[in-house]
Amino acid sequence: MTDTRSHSRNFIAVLLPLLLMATVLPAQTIGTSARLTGMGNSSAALVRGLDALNVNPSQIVPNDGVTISVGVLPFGAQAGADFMDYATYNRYFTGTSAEKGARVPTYLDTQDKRAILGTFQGEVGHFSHDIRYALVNVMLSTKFLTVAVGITERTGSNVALPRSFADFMFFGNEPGKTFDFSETAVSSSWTRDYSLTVAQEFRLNRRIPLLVGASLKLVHGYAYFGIDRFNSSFVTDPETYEVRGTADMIARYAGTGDWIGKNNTFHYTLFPTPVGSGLGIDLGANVQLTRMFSAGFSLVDLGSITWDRGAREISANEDFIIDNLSSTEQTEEIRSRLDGKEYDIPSFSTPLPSAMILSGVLSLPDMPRRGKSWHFTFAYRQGFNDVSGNSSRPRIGIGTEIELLYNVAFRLGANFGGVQPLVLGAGVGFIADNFKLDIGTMDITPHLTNSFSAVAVGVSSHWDI
Amino acid sequence: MISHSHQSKPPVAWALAFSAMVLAATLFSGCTEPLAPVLPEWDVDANVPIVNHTYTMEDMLRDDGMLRISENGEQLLVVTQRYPLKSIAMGDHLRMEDVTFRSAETFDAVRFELPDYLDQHLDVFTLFPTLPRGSQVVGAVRSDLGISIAIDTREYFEEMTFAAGDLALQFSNNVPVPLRIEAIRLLDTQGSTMAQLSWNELVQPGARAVLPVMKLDGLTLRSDMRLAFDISSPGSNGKAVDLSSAMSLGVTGALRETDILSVRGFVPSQQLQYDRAMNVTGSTGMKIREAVVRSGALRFTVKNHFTVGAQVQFSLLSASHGGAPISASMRVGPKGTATMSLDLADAKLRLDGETDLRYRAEVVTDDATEKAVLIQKSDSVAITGQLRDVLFASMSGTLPPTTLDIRDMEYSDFNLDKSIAGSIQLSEARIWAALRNGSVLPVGISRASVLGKNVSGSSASLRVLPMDLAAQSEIRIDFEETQVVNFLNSFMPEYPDSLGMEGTFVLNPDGADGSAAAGDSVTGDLFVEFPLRFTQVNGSITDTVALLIDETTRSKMNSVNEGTMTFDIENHLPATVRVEPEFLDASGRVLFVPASIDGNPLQVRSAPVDAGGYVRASITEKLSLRFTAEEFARLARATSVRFRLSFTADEGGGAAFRSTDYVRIRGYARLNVSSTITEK
Repeated sequence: MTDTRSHSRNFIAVLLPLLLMATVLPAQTIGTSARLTGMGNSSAALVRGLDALNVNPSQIVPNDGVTISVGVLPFGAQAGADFMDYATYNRYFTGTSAEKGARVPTYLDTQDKRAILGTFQGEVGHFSHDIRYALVNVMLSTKFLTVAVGITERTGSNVALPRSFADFMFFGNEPGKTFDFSETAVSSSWTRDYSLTVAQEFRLNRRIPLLVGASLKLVHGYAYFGIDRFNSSFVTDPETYEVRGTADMIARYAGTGDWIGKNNTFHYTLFPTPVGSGLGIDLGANVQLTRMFSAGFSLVDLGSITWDRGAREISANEDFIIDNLSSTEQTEEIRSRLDGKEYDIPSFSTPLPSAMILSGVLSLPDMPRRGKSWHFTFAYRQGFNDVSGNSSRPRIGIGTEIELLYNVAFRLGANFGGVQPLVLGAGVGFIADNFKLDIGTMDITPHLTNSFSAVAVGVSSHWDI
Repeated sequence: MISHSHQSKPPVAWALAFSAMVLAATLFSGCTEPLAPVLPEWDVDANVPIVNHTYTMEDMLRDDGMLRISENGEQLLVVTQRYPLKSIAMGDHLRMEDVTFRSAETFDAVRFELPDYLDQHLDVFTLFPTLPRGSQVVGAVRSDLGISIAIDTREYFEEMTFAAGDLALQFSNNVPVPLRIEAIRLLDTQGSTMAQLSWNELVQPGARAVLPVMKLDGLTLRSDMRLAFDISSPGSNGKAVDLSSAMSLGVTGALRETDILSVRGFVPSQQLQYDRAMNVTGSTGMKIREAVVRSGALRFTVKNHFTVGAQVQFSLLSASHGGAPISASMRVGPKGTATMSLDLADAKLRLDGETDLRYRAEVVTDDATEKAVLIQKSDSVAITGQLRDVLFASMSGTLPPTTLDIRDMEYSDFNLDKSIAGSIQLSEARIWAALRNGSVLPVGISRASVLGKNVSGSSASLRVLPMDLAAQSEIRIDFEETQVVNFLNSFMPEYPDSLGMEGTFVLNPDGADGSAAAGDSVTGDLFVEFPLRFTQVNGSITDTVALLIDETTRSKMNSVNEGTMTFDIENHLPATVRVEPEFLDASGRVLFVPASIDGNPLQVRSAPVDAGGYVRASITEKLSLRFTAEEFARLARATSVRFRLSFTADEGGGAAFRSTDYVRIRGYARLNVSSTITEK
């Protein structure tokens, strides 16, 4: 019974914050370009200048004659889960109206429990969030070379939560049923990139424009928590209710004392003390194959970060049998085993959210009017790992942009894969003299219905000279 | 970002207004402010194993010193109980019988020496009144009337009667003619001669004559007596001598070697000393070479028959403290009586001839030189001594056979029926006594028995055959098994609640010489042993166990809606086991009694046994209990649980318990609990 309570507590402790983040976070994108966000992340081959940072370094070379561009706090954020939509949250996790406007906990009957479990699309629920914003973004373009420097802050998390957790919490340890938590995975981090990007345009055969660029990033890490292994499971014997299981887990974490220390109240500082560092490289190229079609290729965030200050590891690798809860010795021993051991380690490394991006753009000229183009974009993103802000599941984006009004462009996009199988995005871009503002959302569902489980918005702007 | 256009551009304000409108439509259309999260509540089933434990007889009884496992390989459980007997300390019996002794000490030698009893000078003209003064030739001359000298002794006594005594007389002739002295007599006031000395010698001028002593034996002298004698001289032998009144005859007398029967007068202080030895062991046969007294006293009573007071000091020459004889003194008035007590605690005693206590009495009479008193030789001082309550810390010598009554020996609590109530008929049992004599003196058991009793009034005894315990030895006394079985079974259906030994022991039965100390003792234990093999078992154990439920758990228990507890009980005992639990509150009130789902008693049948009463195979039964939320709430208030475990075995088949017999309890529960349990 003690174990039941313990699992219940753990489950609630994990699930609730995820649900809250998935439903309360106001906006997001991936990258710091709202133009990308509004087009379902499909416009990797379309964006140029500062918008191309962290997407394809070769495309920082402007195509509109801009010499200097200064980013104005570009910001993007996304959070999403493939289970538990906003409507479900509102129905079960916000209480029931009672007297005097008070809200009391909603009682879940079996049907309600099954409805919540039904929101899982498989045996594992996923949640991720990614927030990026640029503290500094400056680009200088000359005919010899285009150079950009930037400071980009990023926090993100990827969580994989087996349906077994919720099943166990709602229906208890049904005898004979195996509860397997081995799909549990957590990766979360807070990092900051100091990047230097250079790019130049070349001509293939003296006529085909070819952009080539690279970024070198000094990455500082401020916090990390990740579960490397969680091969834990248990089953309750239907005859004796004896619980047999395995607790096999390795987790590592590191964090700056500015916010992870005990009894510390988090205080954001502009330059916290890093607890990890590493180098990252972005490589990219773009080629204008025809007058209407260009393609891009990039490898981003190649590299790793080594966490070497205050690094600790928690590990457990125990088989356990609970057959006598009246035995204090047994329960204490099992509790000790499941809690694992926590100890200092010299360092550990985690990869950067490396990915390959293939992209293309088809531009139909003189649409909707002369001098304007109607863009159709495509991008394929293949992440190489599942660290925070990344996914090894491929994502495909398609989108379009058209300037229906003077200096106002409207964008639509769709993204397949990732946390959500399909999300539809939209955005708009404005230009006022030298100031350009882009606003976009990668998922319009929250703006149309309560049945959404992800939100992603971006706002970016820059001043061009 | 959009590409630059060189076409006419709308005003910037328009663009910004439009931007704001689209932005709002984009971000907030369809959005409502999210409600704050409120965690829902639900009920969930927890299926948990409560207990899985095998209780072997060895485990259950491990902490019970009463049981051991037989050593013959049968693993048969044997009840062994030890009952310590009250020790018999020698200190209570190393004692001396009270003794009283008396003596009367007389003043048989009152000494009364008067060296200057008489000292007179008689001039020549008193001796011979007829002689003229001056130079002359003195012819023979005689005093016809004789000479009489008054002896005034009122300074010393008024009357004194001698048993013996001497009057020593000397004459000194300071007259120039020889003097003959004869017919020396002691005259009373009436002139009667009381004593006389037949001495007739001529004392030359300038010479001193020492006369033979005059015996005063049997005489009574008074203060106004006279000494008389006749005197003559042969003259100056023709020579002229010059006579003057300076010329005289010196007469001195002294009383010596007196043994006075009585005296009335002024008696000086008399010092008397008596050394006495009194037999203090009498006919008891006790002999004490050396002993240290633990407690006791010697009391002296002195009756003084003198007409003068006296200071009396007693010294015990056979008893010492720190090497010095024990002594004390007291004053006794004239014709008075006084008592004093000498504390003998911690005294070292050495008796003369191992039987006699030697003491010295020193009497110093008051000085009576100012007031006449009558003292008689027969006057005495009567001394009475009482040796009382003497206990020895140690002694060497001979202690006479001493009876030790152990009827007051404490009973030891059998303590079995307090935990087991019911009926057990024993088929085998042993009782033996292990006695240890720590003394260097032997102890004899002349008449003793093991006595058992219980509160219902039943009693039985086992006789102990007479025997001796050698000095510093151990002895084991076994009782005949049939008698033991009958003895124990005679208490059925109960047990003796106390066992003990009573009777008479004799310390040093042969009066052997040796030594003993108060700390020496005879100790012992009674042992009862019987195998846990019964021809009849119908007993029960009731025990109350505290429930250690912390406040958090109590709170969580209130979140249980209902539950079912199931126990698979595998019984490998040769007895039916019935459990009757009761949950109690702090005041001992029964909060509730769990009942099985089918309403049957919580009972497991006896495992099948073979012909010897040993279990052949185990038997498993399932007991299920259902608890409602209300019962769980009551359980949360419980502070203890009282178990009554009843054992019943087949009367005909009998039952034998092995240490490996067991009860295995595997319990599991389905508890329907509220999710709020995690918040408590």
